Amino acid sequence: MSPSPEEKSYAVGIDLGTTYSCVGVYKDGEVQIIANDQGNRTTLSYVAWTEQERLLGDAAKNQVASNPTNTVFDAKRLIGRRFDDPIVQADLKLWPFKVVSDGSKDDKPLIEVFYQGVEKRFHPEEISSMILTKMKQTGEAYLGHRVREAVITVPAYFNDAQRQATKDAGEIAGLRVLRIVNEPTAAAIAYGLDKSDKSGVAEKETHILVFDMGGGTFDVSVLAIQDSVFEVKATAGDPHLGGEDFDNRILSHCIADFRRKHQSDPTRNQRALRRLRTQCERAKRLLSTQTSVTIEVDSLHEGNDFSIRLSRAKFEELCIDYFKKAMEPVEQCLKDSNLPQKAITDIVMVGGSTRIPKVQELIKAFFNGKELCKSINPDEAVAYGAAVQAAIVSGQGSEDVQNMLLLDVAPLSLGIETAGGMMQVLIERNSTVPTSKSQDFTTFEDYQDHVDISVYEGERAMVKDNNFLGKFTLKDIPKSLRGVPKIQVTFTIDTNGILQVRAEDAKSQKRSEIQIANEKGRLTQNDIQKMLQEAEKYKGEDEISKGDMLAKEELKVYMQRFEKGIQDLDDTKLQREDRERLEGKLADAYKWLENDGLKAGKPEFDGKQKELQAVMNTVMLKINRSQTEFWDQQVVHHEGEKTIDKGGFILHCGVDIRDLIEDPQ
Amino acid sequence: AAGDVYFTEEEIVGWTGTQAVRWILNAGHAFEVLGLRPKKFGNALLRRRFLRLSLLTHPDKNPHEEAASAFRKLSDSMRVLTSENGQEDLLQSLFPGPAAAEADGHLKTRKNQEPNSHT
Repeated sequence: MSPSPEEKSYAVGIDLGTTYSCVGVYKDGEVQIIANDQGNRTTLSYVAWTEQERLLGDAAKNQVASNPTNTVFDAKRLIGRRFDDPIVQADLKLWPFKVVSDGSKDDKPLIEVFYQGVEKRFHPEEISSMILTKMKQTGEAYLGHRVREAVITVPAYFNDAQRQATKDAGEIAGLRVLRIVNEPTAAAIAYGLDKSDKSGVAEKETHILVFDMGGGTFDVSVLAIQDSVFEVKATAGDPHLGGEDFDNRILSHCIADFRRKHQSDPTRNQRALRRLRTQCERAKRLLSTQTSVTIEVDSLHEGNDFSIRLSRAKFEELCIDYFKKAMEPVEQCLKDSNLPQKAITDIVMVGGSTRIPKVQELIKAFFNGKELCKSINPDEAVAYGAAVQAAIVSGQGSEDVQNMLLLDVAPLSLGIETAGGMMQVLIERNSTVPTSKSQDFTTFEDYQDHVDISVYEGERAMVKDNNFLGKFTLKDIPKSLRGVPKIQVTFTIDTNGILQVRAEDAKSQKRSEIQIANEKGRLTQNDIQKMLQEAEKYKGEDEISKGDMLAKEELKVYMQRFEKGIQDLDDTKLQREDRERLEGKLADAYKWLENDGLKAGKPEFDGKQKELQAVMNTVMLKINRSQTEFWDQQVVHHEGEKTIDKGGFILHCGVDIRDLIEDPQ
Repeated sequence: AAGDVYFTEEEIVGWTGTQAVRWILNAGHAFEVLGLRPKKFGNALLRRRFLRLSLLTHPDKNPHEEAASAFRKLSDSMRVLTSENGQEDLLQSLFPGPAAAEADGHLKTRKNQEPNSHT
């Protein structure tokens, strides 16, 4: 499409989740959550490499059973971490794809896949950037305009390196990252807007607790809201607790059962594990609404079928320690915010895992039976809030949005190492950002001409128990007796929660500073450039295969209509032999799609569709019905989708216009 | 009472972002940052003033190059005034000696500067 004269560009809000991602935009006075090309409002955070192409999102997950080692997910668990991080080492065992160290002193993890016969290695930032690219395209297809800017959310518990790495991922995806926002804060904004819509601006200050349990991470935050200002009071959480852990518990339970029943061990069979895990996840979801489910997988391992009945009570028993563990951060967060339990006016539930009845029950009990707020869709609340924040920061929102302000906090204390390996805190946990703090230090040896400054984050008294962020040296201090020089160290945290440290000798005015993230975890500008080029290259490849994909999808839709068409014609109109002929053709086409469809291109798909059309034409002519009349009845109205005259994307012929919009150049 | 403040909460609403940034950066101590003469105030009043001034100076809201440092000073002031004994300690350092408790809110060090309105 041609760019409009004043080349409009939108800022979107993206919830980059461990398992699912979601994109929203503030437009025409309200937030719209944007559905992807599959019609889903959340997109799986999956990337896969097949023989021919790279797949993103739902398409990647759909083929996971047949291609487990080249299907990558959970990149968010790796981002900004070292390979030797115990959390990474523990996760490794559960992933079907391969993760290796880059061998540098930073020990960054790399994800290894096979693509077109070649081994390729990617940084977690690159995987995340691919998902962000997908979200960006989803936004562009809907808006019909370029999306250049975004607000991206991260768990409140993310450290400095993880925030930086997420920002880098945005840059690689070609987005200017306006702001990194804490997920619970975003959710609270969504809730706050929701609320003021109904009752007008609240005069009194309210305190809300956001309980955010998603697929991979768990966060609790306490916020104060007054006069449209959202202030994060405290935040706590567990960076490794969520739906996937529950899936794993069910998975282990099933594996143990399988071993007992069949005396064989499926744990080395990646494909079996993936198939079983999919069913476990499904069972977990169903158990939120029903009290028992059956998990069934045919021919799971060595020809043995697997089937087990799982009750909600058993599921709760399997995961109860996780559920109970989730209450600790709630307590911690209340304590940090200096609020009594009864000061909490609302408890906001965010993230898919908050649908689990036992989780709801426990938190409700913790707050003495207080009702929980579940009015916003827990999967979309974060993206909703991010979209509002994008509008606030980019100045695109309406007046009520422009009057809103978000005051966020630094999640961890920051400080430097002093004599004896002690941690001297400069910025305390839960300080409102942006913030800065200076403190004077001195030398502890006579005639010392330089000082090393090591920066840490964490709450423990000794630096060895905290997380090392970086180190730098202030040189050429005028020599004098110990204790004489005055060295001022200043920590500055910007609105994204990213830290800068500066040291200055008062006498010589010598200065030294680091943007912490350069030291650890963060990619260099060079790395980012290289990855940007890679991403561009992939973009080309994506577009080539996109035509093929579209043709394939078109054929599939045609086949569904074809099938429905045959069913709808009764026997008085359609002769038996014609019906058989049509059904035979359709069966052939399905078979072809399953076998040859994997390596076919657009011409083949189009050809197949023509072939089907020809048979249908002949039969239709025979029964003397006009094609148009027939197809009018077969128009598939996409479920839950609005047609174009109602502001949706579906043309009257049933075609989704988002499929027709080329990526803006 | 009007004598306790340099400006009312309602007056803050009419300010421009630049006015707020200048006022905060020129202020001599935490009370003054919030437009208050030094004496004890309750948390609710402090908070309302803090929020109003935040809306004017937070870098999300104000592109002024000194907005971030003004906001930092504002939130630091708020932290001092709402911490335990924070107000007492500050009053003690502003009015050393036993007379501290009777301080009438008029400091010699501070001229009665009004926020700059030529912006």
